[in-house]
Amino acid sequence: MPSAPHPYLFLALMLAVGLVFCLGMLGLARLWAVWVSPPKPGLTKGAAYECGLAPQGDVGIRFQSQYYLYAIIFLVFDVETVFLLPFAVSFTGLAPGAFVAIMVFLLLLVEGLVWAWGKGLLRWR
Amino acid sequence: MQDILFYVFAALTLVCGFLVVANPISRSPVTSALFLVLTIVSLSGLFVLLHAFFLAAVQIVVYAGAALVLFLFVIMMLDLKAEERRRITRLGLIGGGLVAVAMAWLFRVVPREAALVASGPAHVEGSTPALGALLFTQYLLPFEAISLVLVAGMVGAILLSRKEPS
Amino acid sequence: MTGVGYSDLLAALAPETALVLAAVAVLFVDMGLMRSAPLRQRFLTACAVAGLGCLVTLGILASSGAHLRFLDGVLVVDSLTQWVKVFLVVLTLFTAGISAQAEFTEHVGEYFALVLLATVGMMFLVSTEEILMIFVSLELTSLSLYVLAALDKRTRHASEAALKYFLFGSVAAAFTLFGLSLVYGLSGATNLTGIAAGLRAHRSDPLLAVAVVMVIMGFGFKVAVVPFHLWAPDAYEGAPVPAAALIASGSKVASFFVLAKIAVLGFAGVEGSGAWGQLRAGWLPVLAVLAVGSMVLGNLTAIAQGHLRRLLAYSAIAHAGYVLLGLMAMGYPSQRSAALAAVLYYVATYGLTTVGAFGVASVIERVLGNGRIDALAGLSRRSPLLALCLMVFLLSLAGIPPLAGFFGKFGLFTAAMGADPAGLGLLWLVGIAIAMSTVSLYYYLRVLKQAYVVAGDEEASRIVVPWTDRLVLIAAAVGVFLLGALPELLLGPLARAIAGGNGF
Repeated sequence: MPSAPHPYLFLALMLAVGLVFCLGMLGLARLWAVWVSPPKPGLTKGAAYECGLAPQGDVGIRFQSQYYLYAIIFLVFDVETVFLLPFAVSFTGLAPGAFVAIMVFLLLLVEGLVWAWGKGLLRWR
Repeated sequence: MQDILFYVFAALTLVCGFLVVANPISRSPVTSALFLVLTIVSLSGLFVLLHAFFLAAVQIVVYAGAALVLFLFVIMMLDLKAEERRRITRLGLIGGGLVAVAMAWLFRVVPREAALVASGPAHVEGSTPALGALLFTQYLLPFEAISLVLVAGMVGAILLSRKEPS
Repeated sequence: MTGVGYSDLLAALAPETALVLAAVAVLFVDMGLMRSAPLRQRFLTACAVAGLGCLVTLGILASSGAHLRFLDGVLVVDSLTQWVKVFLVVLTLFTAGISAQAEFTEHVGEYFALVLLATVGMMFLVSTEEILMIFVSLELTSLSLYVLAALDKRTRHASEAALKYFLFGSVAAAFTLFGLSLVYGLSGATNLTGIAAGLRAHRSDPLLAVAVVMVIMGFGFKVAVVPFHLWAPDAYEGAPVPAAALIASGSKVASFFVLAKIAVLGFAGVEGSGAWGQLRAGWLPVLAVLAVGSMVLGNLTAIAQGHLRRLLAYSAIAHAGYVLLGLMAMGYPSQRSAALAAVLYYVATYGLTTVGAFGVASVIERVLGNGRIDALAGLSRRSPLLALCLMVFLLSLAGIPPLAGFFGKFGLFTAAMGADPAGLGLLWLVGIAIAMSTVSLYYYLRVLKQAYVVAGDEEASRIVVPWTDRLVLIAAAVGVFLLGALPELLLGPLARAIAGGNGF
């Protein structure tokens, strides 16, 4: 009878495959670059492409701070899910009081969302 | 196998962590942030090895997923250029080296076995239902307080980052 | 699974719940009903709602007094914590009172909600003996206070102060967390009594020294002792006045209480000794160094200040140094309850005095446009009430007899004197404290000289003090006077609460 595989065999295998896949691709691309298209850098070639117009200014632009607000709200609700999962998993073993507790938790965060809505933050300007 | 994986992940964590703060190739803050993602991913690998699957997932979902996106937003919003030019100064190097030596000394003189292992890890190790049960009984109050922290943080971050209609 | 009495827990948390509800209410009343009202009216309404919440909370606090201990110390409620909570809520009420006429922000509801949330954090902080809960509630308090400090977005100066406060604070929080995690690693427990038991085997461990120093560093930042004080002058000067008042009063009361708890209960057995000539490793010598630094540097730097709130900041640093003497006295079991009563009396009256002084500063800055001490010239003619209140508060801070500050200092110093059973070990600290108190009299009197003696502009009109400010100022001044004249009013109940508590 063959012995059961080591529990971490898959993890190790996955790691190895992932590494080989990534590095292999990079290596292949490198080889391709060296053999097929040797680099000939130039001012025009390195410039940012803007529909045939002469490039203006930097490539990196300043982000609007509104994206940041959305990211914050997302982060808050992301953390909320983190707490919801253990609750859901151990739900059957918990007293009714725990349900009230999680509802309080949810309500407080929903209150935050309602506040943000009322403040007009969810409207894109 | 487990030991080998531990050393792989630990080395990855350390190397990536080093590259976050002192990358010899690129001084771009975006590169640092992406190496931070790698650090966190390898950390979550360490959590998996400890059977703490939930914590491993949380590492990826919250830190690598959400918090890092915030970092990137901030970096792009500030459009940092100065950071790229800044070099490591000799003073910083000496100071950092001194701290590193002090830490190394500290961890050498600590009687390792006696200090950190004897007290033992918490017995919830890993299982998410056990974690949930603890969270809603023993640690119910910190949990509820965290919801208040989240609300205060959300309100505060939004208030402060919003442009005032003047 | 231990049966958690969810309803018992909720009953024990009634005061905090009331304040959270008030915070939500003030947020939505302001957003829903007062959206188009003028700013002044919105501030008054929000202040009324928040004040009502505080009063209800006070009522709940007054009606309960049982000694309850939940979940291994995650929540500890006894008459002592109830008293500290009463101090906190009263200070919040006064803070709300001095913000009623403010105009520094458009976000009125959010401002008051954050004030209340910060107070909830402080209340959690005082009624827990569990490091996880301590850290979470510390973060709740700090986050709310960071935002409050930054709310005045009209000037660059305020933003700079808030940023400084935030950066210093988050680094300090990281240190606290690292220290607490080391403590957990060494002791294997998260509640303070368990930590003390677990640390017994590691008394001489260098890691323990690192942990203790890091925890004290984090709290040293919260209470602004030298060398972690750098944020304080800027934050006190740049933040909106009521927010600065809360940072200077309520947050200090809660932080000192929990620092005492951690040091006395959690680090029991690693006290060491701070007696002159026989320093032994432990938290006592750490506190001794911090205390000396704060008393000397705070008082000497305060002399050179030209801005009233900056002067109050340096005086706050000095006062934190005095309180550390009391905490050190608590390290000696024989003096513990007397020292605890003295510390609590001191921080409570100090909080009251500070809120009052900031109240005066807020009225003056609103009318004169700046808070420089030079601008106080002729204050006694322009507003006798303001000048009188300022005199009461500053003389109390200096420690002049019939006022509360005198009795507070007296209690602290006698507790420190009698602390060391082997003799007058802490006498050197008390000596420094008394010498520095004398120095402090100079700069307080300098302010009062501006207000009373120096003639100002003869043309200047009288200052009208709005009724809300008048109410708060008079209440605070009367409180400072009464508690100083009859210290038993506060010390009696405190001593009974300490005797009836769980040994702390």
